[in-house]
Amino acid sequence: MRQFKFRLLILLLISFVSFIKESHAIEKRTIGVILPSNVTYYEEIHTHFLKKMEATIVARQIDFLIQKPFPDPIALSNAARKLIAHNVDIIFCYGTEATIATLKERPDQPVIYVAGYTPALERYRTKNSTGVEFKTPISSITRYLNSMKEIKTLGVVYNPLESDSLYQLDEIMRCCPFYKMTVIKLIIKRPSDIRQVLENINVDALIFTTSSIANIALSNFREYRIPVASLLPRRDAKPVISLYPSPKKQAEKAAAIIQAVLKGKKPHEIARDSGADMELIFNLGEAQRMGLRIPADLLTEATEVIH
Amino acid sequence: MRFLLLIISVLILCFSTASFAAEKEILIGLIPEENIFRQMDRYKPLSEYLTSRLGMKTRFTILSRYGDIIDRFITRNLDGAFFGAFTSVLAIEKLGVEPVVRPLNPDGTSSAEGYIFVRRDSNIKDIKDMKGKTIAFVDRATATGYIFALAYFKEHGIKNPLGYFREYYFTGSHDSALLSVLDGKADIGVAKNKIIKERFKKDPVMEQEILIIARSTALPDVTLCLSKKLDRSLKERIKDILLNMDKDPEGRKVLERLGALRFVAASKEDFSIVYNLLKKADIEIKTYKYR
Repeated sequence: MRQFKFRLLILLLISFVSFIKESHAIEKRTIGVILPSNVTYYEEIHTHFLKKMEATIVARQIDFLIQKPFPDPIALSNAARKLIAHNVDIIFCYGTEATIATLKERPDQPVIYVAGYTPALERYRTKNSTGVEFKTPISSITRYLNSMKEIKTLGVVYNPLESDSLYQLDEIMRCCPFYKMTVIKLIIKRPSDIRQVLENINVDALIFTTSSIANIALSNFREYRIPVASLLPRRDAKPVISLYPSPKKQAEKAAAIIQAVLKGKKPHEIARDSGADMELIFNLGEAQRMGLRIPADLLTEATEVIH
Repeated sequence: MRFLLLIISVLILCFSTASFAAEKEILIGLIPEENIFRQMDRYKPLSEYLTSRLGMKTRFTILSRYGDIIDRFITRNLDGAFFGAFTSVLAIEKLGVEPVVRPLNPDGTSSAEGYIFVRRDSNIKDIKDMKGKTIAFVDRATATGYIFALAYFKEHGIKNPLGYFREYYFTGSHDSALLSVLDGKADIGVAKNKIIKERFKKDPVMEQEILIIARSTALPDVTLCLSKKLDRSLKERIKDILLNMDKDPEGRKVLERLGALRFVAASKEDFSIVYNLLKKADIEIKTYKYR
């Protein structure tokens, strides 16, 4: 009996020590977050990210310092500088431009990003950065759009100050000759530019690139009766087709990376995640309202059909 | 009274003729190889051709999914079906069907290959790069869209192929597996070469974006197998019409729509290669859970 009590005591002591060790292994940390403002897609990822983090033990040890700059390069750089000056433990960036702006500052802290556009980040990655990336299959969205309506002129809404947007424009231009489409480049640097840009423009359809500015502009677009495809979602804008990486999966992958860093892994020890997780959303109600032909492929392949 | 009897007799005659006509209908199932609208468009002229040449209504029905094929064959009392390589073997074993003919492809083959493919810009170049990625198969009951890939992974030392991937799913059709990869929903796809090549022909951009990583050996392509219950002479007539339709101008038009040069005779022996594949994939046909 005495031997049993002694063993039980030892067992309890071991459990207590490992609990103390576990809770001390993760000290109180601060994660600086750059979340470009008014981009609902990033907000959706952030909601999923917080949920995922709350479910883990490390969540209790974290303070979030969130910056919500307007998505232009200067505001994004300023946000990055503030977080560096605040000496946060990790800088967590939403989207390509916030990531590039931060990496250009060469911070000592690990930089983790989510929803980064792979081709645009290639030049900027460092040993101290890793994250979740994606690459939109441009030909798919062009093909689906073309299958609904014969498109001779395709307007592409992009921002030359956002490199992901520029890469997508290039790819659309490479792809369109195969579908006998002419590309009309529509530059916007501020969301309000969209009205001016679309004045006197005659296009059969529009593609909004992943530019944050274009995404904000999309919310002011409802009065136009032109089929719109968007490479970032915008529920309040009802694009006919949207093709974008799943916000939930992006968040889950980013949370897993951040947890690994908090547990001591270096960013260069964690592989970038660029796995396929695209969602194809088709707005059937909007397509019917515009009298578009509904291709069977779209209905069968869509991740979600909005009626 | 006589008049009433006459009416009753006429009605009985009508009903018996109608039921006789109904009995004479031939119902053939189609596996859901591709988008059903496209598939029906390809096969409809063939059903009309068979109806006119056989002198009895011939209807095609697309079976909802590969895994239901054997059950649906029984419950819908089908007279035959165009089965894929694996479902033919399954139907031979479980239903005792007889392989009759299969279409000869425009490239002169009557076989199909399975492809394992990725997006060219995916950085996946070989089997090692596939670890932890998402893979889209067609269905558990397809040789070219699943079983060949299982055999391939096992041959390359992966004991638990499904556990090798972060996620796997079944798209239900070959073209859907292709579109899953093109649309970025899956990193890797497995599907039949014929359907892939047809899509490439219509849209050359697709071909530029897809990289084929592995191919299966040639397997028997879609084969018309007829029920053992069907009258022998009727089976022979169906076979004869199909084997000779390339000699008839109207038949050639139907074949063109189907995407075939002509039909060639098929036999059970053609499927020995499928049995070998099943062995490599460690699949025992009698116990395999294909649903």
